[in-house]
Amino acid sequence: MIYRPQFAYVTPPGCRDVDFIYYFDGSNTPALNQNFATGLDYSAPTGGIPLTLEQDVPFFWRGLKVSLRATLTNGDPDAYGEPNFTMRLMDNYFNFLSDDMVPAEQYGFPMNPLVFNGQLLTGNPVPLEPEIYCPPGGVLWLFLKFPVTADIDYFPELALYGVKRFKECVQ
Amino acid sequence: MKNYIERHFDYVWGPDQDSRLASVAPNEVIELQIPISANAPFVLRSRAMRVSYGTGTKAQNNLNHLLLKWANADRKFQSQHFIRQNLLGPYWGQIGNPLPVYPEVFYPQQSHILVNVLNDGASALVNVTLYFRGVELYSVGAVKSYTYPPKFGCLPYVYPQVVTSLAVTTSGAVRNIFTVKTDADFVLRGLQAGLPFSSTPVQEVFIQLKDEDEKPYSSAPVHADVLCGNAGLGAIFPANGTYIKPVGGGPAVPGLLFPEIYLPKNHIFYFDVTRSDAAYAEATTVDYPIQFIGMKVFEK
Repeated sequence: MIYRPQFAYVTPPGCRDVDFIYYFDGSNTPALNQNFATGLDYSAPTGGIPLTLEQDVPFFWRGLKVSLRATLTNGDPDAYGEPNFTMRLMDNYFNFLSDDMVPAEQYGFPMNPLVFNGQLLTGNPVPLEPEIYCPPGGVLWLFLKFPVTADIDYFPELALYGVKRFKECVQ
Repeated sequence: MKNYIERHFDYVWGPDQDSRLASVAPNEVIELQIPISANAPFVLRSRAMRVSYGTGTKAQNNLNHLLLKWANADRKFQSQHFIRQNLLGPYWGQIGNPLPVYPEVFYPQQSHILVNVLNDGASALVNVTLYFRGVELYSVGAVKSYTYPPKFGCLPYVYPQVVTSLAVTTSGAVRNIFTVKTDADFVLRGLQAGLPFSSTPVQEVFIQLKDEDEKPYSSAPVHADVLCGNAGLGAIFPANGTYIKPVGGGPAVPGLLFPEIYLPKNHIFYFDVTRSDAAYAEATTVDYPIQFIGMKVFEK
């Protein structure tokens, strides 16, 4: 690796990078389709939630954002919850990205306040520096641990920001 | 400055350094002379400031009435008049939003940062603390300065740390030791800290980083909201005659250390923590989380 300024990634010759977001919630990840307010615990190193990537081209993962849908009203995320939980991630090659569980509001939840000028969830994604190479069809792992909360239902969501890298002649 | 090593450093000037800052009365002007160390020149690149949180809501009362003017090493002021500091940036340089100083300002060893402070409000400002953030300059070899191996791979990484059983009031600093694991070096680039979901107040927590030789990265402990940044959850800041929640803080804009601090595998790093929450009646002993954010470096 040679020196480069942070975030100034270069697309290799013959390739084309396309902005891409992987989004995981209860609609595409069964383990997230549960009410975590009951204190669900997916923090054991062997008990994570698999997040499967698409099989077309590599994904270069550069940022993330987690959120916590507080209620489900006809599938409409009309309210969000405060991020009182801990989380941890593992890349496709079984490298943990933190030494232990990390409080979500200090790791992937840059959204204070939850509502600003009537809009939900302000805040930029949290950058990953450097980017992480994810091969086609790779599996990332998400670890979560929630406290028991009696007053509200919680459904976590996760967005991974980055680029898909296509060979010029493929797409 | 290419022949020098830059080392992150914060100059802290508050009531522990000058007792007049414990309570700055309405319309009072205070002149401060912050001494620069004899060890190294200082290059100022950003600033921050704060007052103690109030005892009711988590608000820094009347901070919008803090006006400053400050001077370079030649005692020439950077403004012709007092400047209301919230005109310069959000949150008075806290929660990951330092007030930039550009171009940087150079202070030789044993010079002073001259500052005039004015409170133009109707109430006293309590425990005004000013932070002048930047780098110290050292000759090559004067301080340890580890760096990358010739060939390496890297992985974004967070080392979560917890200060267990942090008392409401600490008698002196609580020594904490962070040890880099044996598999890879670690580059420390940012920090997050705080306990926003605590049911009891955790307001006045200060941290001083020190290298393995106990050489500090600040002249005194720095408040966690300034050093580490956080989302500011639960906090409110004065604005437009009222108080509002901060917007856009949190892990996307952590408290950055510049330049980054390179920690070889198996080496230690100190973070001394003090807490002074006796003024908050419901405060209790807590386990206080601090995240060391950066990158693992694997030698190849």
